[in-house]
Amino acid sequence: MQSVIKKIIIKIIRLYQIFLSPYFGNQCRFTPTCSNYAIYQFEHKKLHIAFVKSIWRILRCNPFSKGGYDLD
Amino acid sequence: MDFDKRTVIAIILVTIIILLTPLYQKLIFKNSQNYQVINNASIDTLKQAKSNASSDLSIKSNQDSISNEKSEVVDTKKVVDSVSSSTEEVVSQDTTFEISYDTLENEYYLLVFSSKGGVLRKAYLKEYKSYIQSDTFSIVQLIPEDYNGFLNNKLYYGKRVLDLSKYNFNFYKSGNKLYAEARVLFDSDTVVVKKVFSIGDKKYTLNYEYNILSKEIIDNNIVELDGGINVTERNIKDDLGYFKAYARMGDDVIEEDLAKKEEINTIEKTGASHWIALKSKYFLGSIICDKNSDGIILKGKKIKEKDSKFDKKYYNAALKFKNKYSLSNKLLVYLGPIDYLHLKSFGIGLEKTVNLGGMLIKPFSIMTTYMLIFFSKFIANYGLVIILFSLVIKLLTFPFTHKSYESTKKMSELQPQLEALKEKYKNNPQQLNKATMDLYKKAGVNPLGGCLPLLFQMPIFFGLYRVFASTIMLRNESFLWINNLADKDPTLILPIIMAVMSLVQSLMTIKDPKQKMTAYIMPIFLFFIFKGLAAGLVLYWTCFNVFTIVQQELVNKFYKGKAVSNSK
Repeated sequence: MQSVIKKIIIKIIRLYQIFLSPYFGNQCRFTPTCSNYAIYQFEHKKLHIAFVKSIWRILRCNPFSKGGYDLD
Repeated sequence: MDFDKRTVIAIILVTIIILLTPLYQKLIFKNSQNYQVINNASIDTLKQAKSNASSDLSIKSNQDSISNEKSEVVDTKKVVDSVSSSTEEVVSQDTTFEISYDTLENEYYLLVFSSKGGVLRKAYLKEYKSYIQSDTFSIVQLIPEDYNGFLNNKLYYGKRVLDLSKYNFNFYKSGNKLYAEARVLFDSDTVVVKKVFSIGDKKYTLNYEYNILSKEIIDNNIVELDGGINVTERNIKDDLGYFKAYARMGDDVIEEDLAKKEEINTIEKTGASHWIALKSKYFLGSIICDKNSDGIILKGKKIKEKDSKFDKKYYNAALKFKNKYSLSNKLLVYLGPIDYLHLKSFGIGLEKTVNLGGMLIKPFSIMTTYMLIFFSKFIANYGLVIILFSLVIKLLTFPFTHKSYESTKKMSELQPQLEALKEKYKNNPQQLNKATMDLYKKAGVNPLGGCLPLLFQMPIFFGLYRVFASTIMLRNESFLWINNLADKDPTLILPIIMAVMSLVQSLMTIKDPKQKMTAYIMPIFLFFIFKGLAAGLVLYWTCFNVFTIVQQELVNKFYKGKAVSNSK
């Protein structure tokens, strides 16, 4: 069940990357980008951990943060 | 390679949408034909109604000529049932009587009371145009004709029910109060019912007092809103989608969609309730008591119609009072628009009938509501209010986005160096990332504004969507060629402008030639999403796009000047 949800979420993020992301331009302050980070999290971590970490990452990704390399 | 695959997927998706559109439109058109049929049917009945009660609508002084002017003859059904019949309604009066009407009126509403049951038969709201009743009768009327009307009382004696809606009441007016009185022979008992209606202090309210004298013990007495709220909008299906019943029990507000099935769905709860309410998209009918009620009954069902694409809905909401020998009760009735601030001013949670979205969206929609109301104090036209609103939102996010454009600009200057790095670390992406970040650090660039400001737009947009869908403010507000900002733009002009604007914007942001396809796909996609949404929402998004473009141009110019001065 978890893996199914994970796959669906990853698919949605991929769709975002293909259709929406280019429209907004490169906005992310981090490497890899928030969406790639989220995909990595959902591929490798437990669902709830990946979820929380992804949201935390997006919250950190604001003009006041330093950004930089951050994967785990 | 990967991109080619994506392009193919995108093109396939767009083709599917384009192919499906005519089908979709056909469906829409079929529906609108159905609206026509209904309109024609209702126009006939309304013509009658007009001659019955409305001829004096516009002339306020001429109130009394409406009352008792027209009447119809009704046979009360002679149902002689024995006491043993369980919850059947027992009518022991065997008379034929003429129905007469009387009215109460102020600058906001005209209420028409029927002597049959002494109930509220029609509630016209003078400030609001009705779309359904178009030319013949153009203001909103909230109470459905086919049912018992509003404010009917039913008395329960054990298993026997005395439904007062079948009995004739005599009206008389004194001052600004309307009295209705009936003596009902019920079994061996004479029940005396006195109803007093008067215009309430607050906008759209009516005071309702009643007094019932009976020798027998009345176990329960209910006051009900029967039938639901009338459909008032052009888009009937959309309006019906908002039909719901509400009740406040303690601190909780119960919200129920009871018209999902064709059989009657009933919710009955005991305990003190503060109010019950029925609502449509824009209008609310509510009975408010002093927390002295002993329970609520909410009912609803779907009514299938043969030649109609959508189902009608029946609703009934009632407050229940336990009582003894005689009783008198004082109630407040609200019949009016769903105006967030006005409903909130009652201080009893009536504003919770406004669906402003879940926990996440609600703060944003409330903020939006207050902002729109604030702007509308200075600007008469809501189209301009929306434009101003989008400008304010743009300015609020400007410090963020401005910074992001700055770094975008600096980034593009670093582009050649980046390309070189990419070439260098072709087979080592990890190394490439580090090298890239080092480059940024050296140049003192913190790339871009981040994902959060980008995401911040979303709740505002959804909040606005909620506001457009559920408050009366934008109903019927016109702007340029759009005659209703709360409905979709049937001419499609606005969505097309929006698509063009977003195309311009995306061509500005998407510089990578590999992604050029997406630059064209997004606007098309947006067009299909937005053409069904409220015109006001499309207007907001269009203006937001325009402001973004202007901002981008300004930033570009600013940096061009700077670059020139640097090179010198």
